Amino acid sequence: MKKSININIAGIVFQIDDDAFEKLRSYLQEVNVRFRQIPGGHEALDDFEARVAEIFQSRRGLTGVVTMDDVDEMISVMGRPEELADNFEDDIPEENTYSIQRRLYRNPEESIVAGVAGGIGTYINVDPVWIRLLFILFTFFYGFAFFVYIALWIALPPANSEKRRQELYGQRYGSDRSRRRKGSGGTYSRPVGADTADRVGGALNEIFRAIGRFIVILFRIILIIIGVTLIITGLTFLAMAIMALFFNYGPWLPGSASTETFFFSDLFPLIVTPSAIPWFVGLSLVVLALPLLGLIYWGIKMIFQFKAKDGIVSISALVIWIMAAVALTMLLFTEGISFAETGRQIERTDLNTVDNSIVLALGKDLSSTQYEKKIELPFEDNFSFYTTAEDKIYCSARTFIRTTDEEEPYVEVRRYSQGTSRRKALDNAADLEYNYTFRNDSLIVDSYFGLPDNTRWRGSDVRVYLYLPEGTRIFVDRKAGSMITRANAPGHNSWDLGGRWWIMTEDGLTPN
Amino acid sequence: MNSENAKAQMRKGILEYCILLILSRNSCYASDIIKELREVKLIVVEGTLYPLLTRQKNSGLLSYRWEESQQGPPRKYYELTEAGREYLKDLDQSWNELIESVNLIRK
Repeated sequence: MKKSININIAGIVFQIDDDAFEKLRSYLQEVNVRFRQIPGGHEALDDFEARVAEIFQSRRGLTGVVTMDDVDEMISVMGRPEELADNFEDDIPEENTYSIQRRLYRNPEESIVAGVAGGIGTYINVDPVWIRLLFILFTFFYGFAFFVYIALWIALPPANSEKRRQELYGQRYGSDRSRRRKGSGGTYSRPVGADTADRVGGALNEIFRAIGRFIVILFRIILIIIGVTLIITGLTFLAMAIMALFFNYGPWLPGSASTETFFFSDLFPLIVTPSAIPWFVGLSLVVLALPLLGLIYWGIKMIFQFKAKDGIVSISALVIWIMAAVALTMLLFTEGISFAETGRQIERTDLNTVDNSIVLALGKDLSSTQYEKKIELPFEDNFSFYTTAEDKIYCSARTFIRTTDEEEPYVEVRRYSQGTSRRKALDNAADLEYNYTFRNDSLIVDSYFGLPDNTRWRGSDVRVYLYLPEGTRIFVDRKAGSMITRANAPGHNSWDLGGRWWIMTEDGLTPN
Repeated sequence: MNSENAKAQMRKGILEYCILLILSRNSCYASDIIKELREVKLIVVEGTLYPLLTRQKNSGLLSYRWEESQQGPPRKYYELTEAGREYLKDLDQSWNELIESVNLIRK
């Protein structure tokens, strides 16, 4: 009667006689000793074992047991240990010349959370279990071990290449590593008498594995929360940017909420040269949207934890963003420079009256059919823009009534505009299209002025200042009343002067 | 003085050259390579080949793919890489030069 046992070589199960097993084991151990001295030896050993399995398989048929003969035959094919040495003696590194610059890496082969403890353990040749124990103890006592772990996680690269593994394992590379790999479910098992420390370590390892899983899940949850926050923030601001650029919703600026909404997209075409608007909108969109899209992408990446080769994309996005930002700045500058200087043109007309009485009447008014859109300027009193389908821009002309020390009443029509230079600003001001007449004691003023064709609003304004000496009587036409923005009329609203005779007194305008 | 050491040194370099030559014709399984080497008496036992193959693979001369086999575990089929072909060309040339040199001296 012969005892036989089951063994596993290169993933294939064999039944083998007891004596044959002993011979096989000592043979493989000797081969192992020789192979592990050379770089990459563990891999050669794997191949070697695969071939051994194949030889056995071809010999024993389907049901047979591996016998002593089979093992001898295999050895004669593969070679005795001393025969094997011939061809790679030179490959064996000599102890004193062959030394590796050792480095600390995270060790993915000994990893529970990120392989930090595994890496340290491998580096100092201690079972990682004890490093883990230290980490956990110091987390409980001080808390900072947790942060040390995170810092090392970030700082240490993983040993994911042959070279890095060599630097991490040092001299033991090949031998130690292949032994470990075998130990964890490989081709032949560890020696039977595993000592107590090993068993305690094994139990601890199971506990750590559980804690590790918990920590990994916790991290994922935190990452998902951060990711969702990033995505929501990104989407919100993106929506706001698009609304502001394309629709009539301004960003909700603090402070402007209580007053009127700032109609950004309405005001925009009035200021910016029409041909530049698409550029403006496009560039602003790029400048605003790119970082937000990046934020959203980052969030998605955090949630789904995927790896993508996005380095080149990120860099090109950054380059595009910088270019767009520079272009936008230049555009803003060239547009903004049109507002650099202010020019003011004043036109004075003396109002020679028969009996010191004046009628203030409205000339032309913009009827609602003449314009397409009315936009109020929120920070100016009584000032609106009117745009027509033909891209003509009109603005409110405002009237002010003041007292003067001069003998005769007079009117000053002041045209304001801005431009790239003082001269240009003055020219722009003179070009504003505004009409008024004085005839038969009547001052007839238009309620609006026009900007010359194909020009934009450059802070343009027309104001009619009516100066009245004391004792002058004035009748304000009912319609003209609405144009008066400010009048020296204590106790009366400036827009409420129409349809009545007034007289200028020491105390200002009073009903007459 | 034993000639064995010198022989082993010679055989070692030639063996590497021959492995590459065999693989330059076809991708091969380790025992196919061994069969050929054994026929020309360059190798006696199979076991010596594996460290050599591993080293050539690690230095980028060879690559391998797994192929299922009818019997036994999946097999590693080795083939020459681009770098391996370049390397082989180099060896071809120096082999020719060596033969020439040796012949010239032996004459």
